[in-house]
Order: sequence, then C-alpha cells, then structure tokens
Amino acid sequence: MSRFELSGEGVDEALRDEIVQRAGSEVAAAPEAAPPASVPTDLFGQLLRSLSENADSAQGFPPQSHRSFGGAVVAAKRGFRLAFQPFINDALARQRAFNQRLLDALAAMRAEQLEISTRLERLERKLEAPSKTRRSRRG
Amino acid sequence: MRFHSLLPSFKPHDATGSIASEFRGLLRRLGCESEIFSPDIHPDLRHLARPSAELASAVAPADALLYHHGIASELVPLLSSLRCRKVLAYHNVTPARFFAPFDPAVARALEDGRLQLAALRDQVDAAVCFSEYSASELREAGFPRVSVVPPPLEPWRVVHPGDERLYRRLSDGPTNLLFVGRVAPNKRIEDLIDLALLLNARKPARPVRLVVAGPTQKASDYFRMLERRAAPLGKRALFLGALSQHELCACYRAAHLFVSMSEHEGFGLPLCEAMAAGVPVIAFDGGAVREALGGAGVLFSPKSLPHVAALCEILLDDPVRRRRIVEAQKRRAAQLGPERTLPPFAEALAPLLPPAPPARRPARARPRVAFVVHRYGAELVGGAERHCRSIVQRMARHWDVEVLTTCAADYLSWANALPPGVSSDGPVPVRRFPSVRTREMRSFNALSGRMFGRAQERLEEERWLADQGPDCPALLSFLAEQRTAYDGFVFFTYLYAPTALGLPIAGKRALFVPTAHDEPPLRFGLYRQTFAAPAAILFNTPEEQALCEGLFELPGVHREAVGIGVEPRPGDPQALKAKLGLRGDYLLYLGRICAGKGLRDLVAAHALLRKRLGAQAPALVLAGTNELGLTERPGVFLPGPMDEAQKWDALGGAAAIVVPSALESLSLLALEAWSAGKPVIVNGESAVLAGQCRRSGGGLSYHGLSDFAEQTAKLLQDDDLRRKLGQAGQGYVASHYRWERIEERYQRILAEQVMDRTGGAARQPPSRSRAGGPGSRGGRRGVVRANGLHEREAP
Repeated sequence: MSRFELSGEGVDEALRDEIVQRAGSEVAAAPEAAPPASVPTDLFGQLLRSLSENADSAQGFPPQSHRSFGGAVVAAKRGFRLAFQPFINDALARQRAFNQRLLDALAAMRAEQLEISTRLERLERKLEAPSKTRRSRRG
Repeated sequence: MRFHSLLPSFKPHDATGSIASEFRGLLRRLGCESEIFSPDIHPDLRHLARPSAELASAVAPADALLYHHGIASELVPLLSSLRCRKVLAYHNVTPARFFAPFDPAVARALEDGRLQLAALRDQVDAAVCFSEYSASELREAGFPRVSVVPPPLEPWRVVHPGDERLYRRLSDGPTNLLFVGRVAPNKRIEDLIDLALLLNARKPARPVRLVVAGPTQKASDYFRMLERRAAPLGKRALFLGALSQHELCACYRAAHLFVSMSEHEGFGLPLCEAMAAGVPVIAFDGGAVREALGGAGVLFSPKSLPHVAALCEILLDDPVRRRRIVEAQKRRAAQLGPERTLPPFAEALAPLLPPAPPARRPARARPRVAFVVHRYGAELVGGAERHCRSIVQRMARHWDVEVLTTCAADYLSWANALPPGVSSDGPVPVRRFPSVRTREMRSFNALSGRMFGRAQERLEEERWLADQGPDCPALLSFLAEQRTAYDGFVFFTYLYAPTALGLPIAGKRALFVPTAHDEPPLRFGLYRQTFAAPAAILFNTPEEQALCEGLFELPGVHREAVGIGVEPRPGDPQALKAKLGLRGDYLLYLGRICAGKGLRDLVAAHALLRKRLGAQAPALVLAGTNELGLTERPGVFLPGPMDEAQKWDALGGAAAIVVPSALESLSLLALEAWSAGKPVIVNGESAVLAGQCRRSGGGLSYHGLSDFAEQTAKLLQDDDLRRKLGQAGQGYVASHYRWERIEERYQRILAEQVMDRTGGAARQPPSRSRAGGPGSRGGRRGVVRANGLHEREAP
C-alpha cells in the first residue's frame, strides 16, 4: 500500500486531508511502472534484427484506415490482398531475394566487425600490460 | 551563415511544425539565414517551407542544420549524407510498448525511431530537448552537448471565445471533463473513461461528461476498445476528433476541469493551453508532464481513481481553491513563449552560431540607418509609402540613410516592376530585393474572410502573412546577415511581411512606425512578436498608441506619438476650378480611390447633399488612382492622380476637404488641408480622425450618410465657421507637425533608445532634445544585444 501523492502551487494539507477523508489514506499498490524507454546501445545488432523482421517484402503490414467507416476499408484491403497474394509474391520475389542477400552481407560485415573489435581489444590489452608492469617495477 | 531546419512533415495542427517555424524565427534573430525543409509539406503551407530534395544544394560545410526527430523518419539517410554541422531537436519518441497491443505498425515505427536516434548520436554536434525528461534519455545514450530549451509554445492562443455553436453545445448542463490530445494508447483515455464513470456513479445529481478533443483513428483497435468501455456513459462521452483552433478555444471555454492520465508526454502543449485558458488542470505525473506544469496545476501519482475522483469533486465544489489554482496556472503559462525560449536556445547553439556583434563599435560621425518598407518610390501612391519617403528625405540630412525595399510598384500583386539591386532616390541609396511570388487577390481575400475574427494557430497566420506578402526572402536574409552593419533601422507599416518578419531580426536596433488602425489582422497573434521586438514604437496619433497598447504587451519598448511633418506650399486656388470648369465650391478628397477608404459611401452621401442643397450643392472632386472603377456623374469629378503642385492648387481652392475612411492611423490629407487653412470633414467612425479633429479644432466629424449631408451643409452655409476651423487647424499643424520638431524626435529616439543600448555611432543629441515627448512611455535603459539577449554593459 502507498500514499496518494499530490503536488502543485494550490495544493495544501487541507486538500490532502479532504481527499483522504473522501477516498481513504492509502491506495492499492500501483502496477509496477514500465522502465523508461531508452536509446538502444547495440545499434547494429538491433538494426539487423529490425531488417530481418521486414525482409519479406511480399508480406504487407496489417491493413489500417483512419476513416470513420474504416472497418469497411480495412475489410476491402484484406480482401484485395488475399485475392492478389500470388501475384504480389511473384512481383516481389526478386526484391525478397535482394533483401535476403543484403541481410546476409550485413550479417557477414557485422561478424567481421565483431571479430576485428575483439582482436583490437586483445591487442590493446597486450599493449597496456607491459607498461603497467614497467610502472610497478619503478614504483 | 545558414542554419536551416529539417523535419519529416510540415502540416497545420501539428506541434512539431509550429515549433520548427518558431525556431526559424529565432534563428533569424540570431543572425542566421534560416528556412524549413521537409519531404511532406501540406499544400496550404507550401510557401513557408521548401522540399527536402533541395536541401543538399542549400547547405555548405560551414552551415548548420536543425533536425527535428519524433518518430521513424525517412530523413535519417539524407541527414547522414549531408556535409554540414547538425543539431538534433528531440521531441521524444513514445515508447512502443503502448502501441504494441493495438497497432503493431506504429509500434514498429516507434522502435525504428529509437534505432534511428541511436544512429544519430555520432552525427550531431549538439542536441536540444524540451524537457529534462527527454534530455536525460539522450545523455544516457551518450549524445554530446544536450541542452534543455523551453519549447517556443504560445498557449495564450486559446484565450479566445472560439466557436459559439460548439460552446453552446458543450454548455447544455453536464460538467465537462476535458482532455485535449491525440487519441492514442499512451494518453490512457481508458483511464479517463473510468474516471468519468466513477464520478457519475458517486454523484448522479451532477452528471459529468468526458470531452476528448484530438485526432482520432476511428477504425483502430484502440478506439474500438474505448468505444466499448465508454458505452455506459452514452452521450456523456464525447470524442470530437481533430478540431480547428477556433473550436478548441470553445472547448477550453466550456471545460470545468482538464484531466490528463497520459503516461508519456514529450512536453504537453494542451496542459499549457488549459492553464492559459483558466481551466484547472489535474494531471498524472507521467513523462514530462511535471515539467510542463512547472509547479502549477495539480500533479498526482499513483493512478488511484477514487482519490482522483475526490480531487475532481473538491476542485469543482470549492471556488476559492479553484481560483487559487487557476491564478498559479496563468502565471506558469505566461512563462512560456518564444521570448523565453530565445536565451537558452542561443546558449545551446552558441558554438555553432556566428560571433555576437561587438558591444561597442567605432564611433561614426553620422549614424547609418536603414529604412525598411514594403514599397518605395517617388511615383507610388499610398499613405504609409509616402509617409516613409517623407521621413527618409528629411532624416537624410542627419543620418546616412539607406532604403531596403522590394521591387514592387503595385501593392496588390507585388509584381517585380522595378529592377533589383541598388539605385538612388536623390542622395539616398535604395536597395531593392525581388519578391518570389505575386499575390492573387481573390484567393487572398477568401482566405482573409475565413480567418478574420476567428482564433488561429500560428502556422495559419504565417500562411496568411506569406500570402499577404510581399514574400521577399532575400530581404530577410540581408537583414539577418547585415543587421550589425547598421546603427539603426526604421520599419514602416506592421501589416506586411518585410516588417512582420524582418523587425524581430533587427530587434532592439529598430524603431517601428506601425501605421496601425483597428482592423482584424491587427489581432493576429503573430504580430505580438513584431510589436514586442523594437527598441521604440513611433505612433502617428495618441489614438493609434492607445489601440496598440490595448492589444499588445510592450514591456521595455519605448512608445511615443510622433506623426509626420507637413510643409505647406502656396497654390493657385483657381487652377483646379479652371481645369474642371467649376463655377461654385468643391469638396476635395485626395488619395487612393479604393473600397477601404470609404469612397462609395462618400459618393452616396454627396448625392444626398445634392438633393438637400440643389443647385447650391458643392461639387465633389476625388483625385487619385481610381482602383474602384468609379465613373464621373453629375457633380462628381475624377481628375486622376495629382503631382505636388497640383495638389496644393487643389487644396487651396477647396471649400473643405473630406476624409471618408474609417480606418486611419493618421490622416496626412487632413494635416495638409489644415496647413493650407482649410476645414476638414471626417468620418467620425475613425477614432483617429475624430481625435485629430477634436485636438485641432479644425474640422467636423460625421456619422452616417445623412449626417454628412447635414454637417457639410452647415459648414458651407457658414463662412465664419469655415474660416475659424481652417485657422484653428493651421495653428495646430504649425505647433505640432513642423518638420524640425519631427526630425528632432526621430533623432532623439534613435539616440536614446537604440544607440545607448547597442553602442552604435557617436550619439548626436538633437539641439533641443527632451527626456520624452508627450505620451512617451516604456523605455528601458539596460543594454540589450541586437538579437534581444541581455548582455553585460561594456565598460
């Protein structure tokens, strides 16, 4: 159980007391707040994942409409898509193949980049190690 | 330097577009050439922005770009390819988790938006956010130079009665619980519905209606869920959809409480609008809501509906507490606005901006002053243009004067009739800039008709101003780049784009002669910045000053009624009579013959006079460019425009001079009539004209057509009255409108209000300088940089 917190220039103890009088002093535990959104750190990895989710260009996003009679519009879009899916697949086959190759190339680059980073890190550690040893000898 | 803005879309009713537009104005004030680029420009706003495809050729490595980021955008690859310095304006990206259950496509776009944000980290030189909430996100992600800048919002725009029909619809009994914003999952409209259900259940005698105003996707899963949830409320749940600014004002006016359950806000403009409109705000402490409220309103956490319901009831029942909260809210709302944004914005961008002008410049014997006016030329007819040219010619004796103007000769189309570049008007250099488009009067008048008298959002007014014209970006760029090359500026006429947009660039280096009269555009919010920007405003009459002081807050702006000088010349009283073959008296009007000057009414009133006096009735001579297409008729003569000599001949021979316009900031014609010793008959509907007559004792004012006939008949039949009025007017002009007096005032105001502040040329006090003229107000002796930022006074 937790308190109902209020703040603001016009808020005073009398207001808090009156709210407590009307609604009780404690509130049921609030659902745990979701962690605040943050800016991704593993950018390359996340971009690759996002790309692979969207690599199949023949599969459209769920149809939508912003119109008040949108239900009918959405149904029509679904019907259209269903009827023409074989043609859509055919028309976009080359694009799908291209996307897949591009993903493969990016994934290979990513793997190579990770390997280079690991080797670089190892080398930097090696370079750092003797200097530390030298310092410690002098000290 | 150039400091452009890039944003994914530029549309009306969109906060990002409004903010980008305000930033453009601020960047110009900071001495940058600035334009908006976008791949998606609404057709109505096409003159306010340029396609993003043109951006690559518009920026050089030394330039900078302000990129607005809010959701996944196709612009990030373009941005990466540009070789210039970059600043991120982060509007925050709504966490995708809110949308995932309802709209996977939007959720995906939001996730992509965050990925793109990560990709931007190593590309930008600085970032500006509108809240600490957003800034902390960027700092955690390792962005360099992250600054918090209060958004340049104008919440006062909703303080307007608004749409009367919608207001009446919402004022039919129930208590209105208002929420304004997009109907989206992060806004948690379902919690508002639950709150409304609870309030109705707790106190059935006081029905509560939930009013939600904002764009709604009615076919979305989220909205369908809301509809199901709100079904028990029936007509007490009202989803109004996207509203115009005018309708939005009515919503705020009819609201009893503004409640927000939103769990994510990048800032929250509607919260600020509600505070400005005087509606008590109750808001859940989510996202940047705490920062938007700034200590006002009532912020609560956690979401306990019984407690929130109790809070609502107390605020609805307790008028004293309500008033206290509303007063605090209004103080908070007054803290927002472009003026408040400018100093932190300038600080955030300081490493990228051109260096500030030196506080003190080498002394010059004569101040270098530029006059900025929409049209200029000896041959042009127009009150403000003539006024400006007269001042230019007189002040050229004291200052190194230059005129910055357009290539237009016609004030309706602004067509480029005169060559661009530098020419001269006697000793005065005239620098002309071409306008980039002509005005189409029919569509412009239709737009004006739709806008006048209604609340408007910023971008709509900017569109109107762009259509009003003259649209002359080269002039604005020149002002931004060269503003420190002049010791002072004098801007003429508030109405047109060069002044409305150029004056804030010149800032406290500028004197402003608004030539304003009471007309609908004067109430447009965009002119607030124009009037607040200069060092001093030089009004034509005390009436004009009172009008503007009633409409605008002008702290730190010196105000004074100055007017214009008149120099009478001898004329031949018989010349015009001989030319037109007139035997009796005539009434004279001189100026543009157009609808706005009341000429049709004057012709009708003259017909009444003819009926009344018969053969004794005077002729009516209307001299000037005939834009109305009037034709001559018995007793009415249209001799066309007159040169200076013909004008004084005509004035000398007239029985009286008529000024029929209801919209005047000063009647130069009346002053010239009085200087020729003639009485005037003015339209009393104009407070300015009536005031001029009252102060001078040199004329009669009329109200309506029959009154015109009556007053004129009285005047014509009484030679003694005519003589007395003429003499009184002559004495008034001689004592108040001598050129020496006007020149002295301009010199004094420039010296005291501009030179002392900016440290321009050596101050040259006029021989008979005074601390302030009659009606002078305001005036601040602090040192302010030309861009409006305070700085330490140089030793």
